Amino acid sequence: MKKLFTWIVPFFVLMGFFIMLGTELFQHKQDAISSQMLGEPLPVFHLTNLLQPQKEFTSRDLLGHVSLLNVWATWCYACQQEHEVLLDIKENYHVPIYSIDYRDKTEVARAWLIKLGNPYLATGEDKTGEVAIDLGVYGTPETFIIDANGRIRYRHVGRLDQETWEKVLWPLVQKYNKEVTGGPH
Amino acid sequence: MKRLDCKQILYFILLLFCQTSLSIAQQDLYPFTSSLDRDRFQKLSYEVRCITCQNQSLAESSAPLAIDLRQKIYQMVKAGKSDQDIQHYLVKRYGEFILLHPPVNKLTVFLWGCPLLLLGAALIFSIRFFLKKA
Repeated sequence: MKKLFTWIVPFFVLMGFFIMLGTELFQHKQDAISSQMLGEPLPVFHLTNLLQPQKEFTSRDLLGHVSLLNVWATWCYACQQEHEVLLDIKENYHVPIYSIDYRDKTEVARAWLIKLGNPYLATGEDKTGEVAIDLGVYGTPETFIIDANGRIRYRHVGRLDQETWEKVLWPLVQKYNKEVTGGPH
Repeated sequence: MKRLDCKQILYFILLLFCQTSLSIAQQDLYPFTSSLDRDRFQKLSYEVRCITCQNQSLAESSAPLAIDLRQKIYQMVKAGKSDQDIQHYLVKRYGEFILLHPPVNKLTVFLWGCPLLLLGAALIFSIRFFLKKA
């Protein structure tokens, strides 16, 4: 009985502790900050269009088709890394991609798109970060799937790579596209 | 050069006072008309986590996102939103993680209960220990 308390109980307590640490270390998801925004309508926004400043880029532009909404910035290294994937999605998957340029300089951002190529149908400038907060963005890049009714369906935090696109986001885009063509509209 | 007379020195000192009051005025980044709102804003900004720094509150951080979030809370307080409204807005977007003082619910009951549990266990063990010794 005494042995049970002095050895077995601490053993199990320690085991439990290690299992907890292990799962945190190896199973932890990057986008663990939960978003209850999934399924919610995209927050209403009116931003200046980066490449056509006389025009606006608004949340209404995303209505009517399934699209991606990418939040990026020129000062964000990972955004540069995922840029090629976005260009590939535009070229080979023909999914409309919109974007929000987060806390950036207009001229630098324009030069960036000219140099690296522009995968976006339209880009809005969020100089104050207000729209990003409304979306629950806490870092760049982040990519959202917006369905035809303007609802947020998926949120990817961090760099989007080819594998994640093919295995996770692309099937979802196809699924919501089917809903548009299949259901009453 | 002429020696400074008493009046000039006095003016100089007065000028200094003007400057300090100006610099204090500049420090008030979030002006409020009601002191109740100011207290509310201050309390909230200490209760909300700076997401990008993780162990600082919004009030303590100068990270860009923290500044933006502070501005958002400031606007919401000014717009007359209640503390619950503001907290709900933030939790909806960033999860309960954003509150430095997590609410007691299914998920956090273990977190809150753990100290009590450990205290209880310690008590039982120490009582047994001392009873055995006596």
